[in-house]
Amino acid sequence: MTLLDFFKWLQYSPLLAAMRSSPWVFPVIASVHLMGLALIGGAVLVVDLRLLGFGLWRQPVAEIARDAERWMLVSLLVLLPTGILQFMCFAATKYYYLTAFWVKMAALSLALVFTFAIRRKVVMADDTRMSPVRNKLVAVVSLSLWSCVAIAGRLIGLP
Amino acid sequence: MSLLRLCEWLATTPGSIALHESRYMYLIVLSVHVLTLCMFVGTAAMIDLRLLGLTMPGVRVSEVVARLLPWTTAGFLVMLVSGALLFYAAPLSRYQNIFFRAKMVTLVVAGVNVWVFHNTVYRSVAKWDLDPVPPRRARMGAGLSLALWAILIMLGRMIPYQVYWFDCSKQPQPVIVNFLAGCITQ
Repeated sequence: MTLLDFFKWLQYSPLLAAMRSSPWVFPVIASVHLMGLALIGGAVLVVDLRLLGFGLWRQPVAEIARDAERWMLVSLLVLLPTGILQFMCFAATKYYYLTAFWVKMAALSLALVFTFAIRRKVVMADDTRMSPVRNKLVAVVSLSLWSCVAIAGRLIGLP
Repeated sequence: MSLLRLCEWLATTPGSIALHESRYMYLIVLSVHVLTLCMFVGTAAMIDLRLLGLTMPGVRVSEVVARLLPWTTAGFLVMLVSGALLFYAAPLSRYQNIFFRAKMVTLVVAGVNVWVFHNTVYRSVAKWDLDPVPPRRARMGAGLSLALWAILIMLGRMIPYQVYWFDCSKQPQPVIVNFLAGCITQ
């Protein structure tokens, strides 16, 4: 089975056929996806702004990062299912051929790996062992990766 | 001049036509409008979650507000300008869009909620600044704010989909639809 066959199987499954038959379902799912986008924006920004010195400043980075991480996971729990459902609606006829979709998937993979492997280690460390330059670099990479995900995501939805 | 006439006139102005017919400008403005959501609602949501006692319980409420609200305000201004441009690109179809109308009403309600919060319960923030879970009135304001922004997002996303279900151009429509959308029928 090729990737395209798999996408076809997803798109033409009975569940998705039922979803596509209602004009309400797709925009409602897209709306919930946008709510998740707003939430992940907050959870990412609150930490990255702290690292850049523009956000909260008195608390240890680790304290803010721990609290924000919980909301980041909540937002991913909203974003991933709604994203997968939107993808399934037009997997084989639209997304398979769309560069923006593949760019988004690549950026998303990188952003998740960077956030949970590298950024997490840096922000959870003791403040005394932090270097301002490295913190700023981490924040800039994090913001750039998530911006790529969001911008590519927006491009997917454009006509 | 009625609002309808004003929208009709706006639609004939060169700026509106240029934006409407542009190849990239409209899409760029639309993308800015959607992506600034992360900054505007994202930071607002973090403030609301602190007020609900659901995040950063060890940080003073006044500090969360002081350090994050400028980002919320900046995001809101970008939303306002890009949103106004999106309206300007198609004044008539926005004016006769039920979701757009509902979104504007929700925006006013959300604005009133913010105003009431800052002029009542937030005035006494010094008394509960360090409470992990702020008083009930603060939590109610924050919960209402989160709910209103969520509704606003959904109504905004629905605006371009009205044409698939009910639209002034599709007659006959139920009387209630024509009334809510402000359609002109014989």
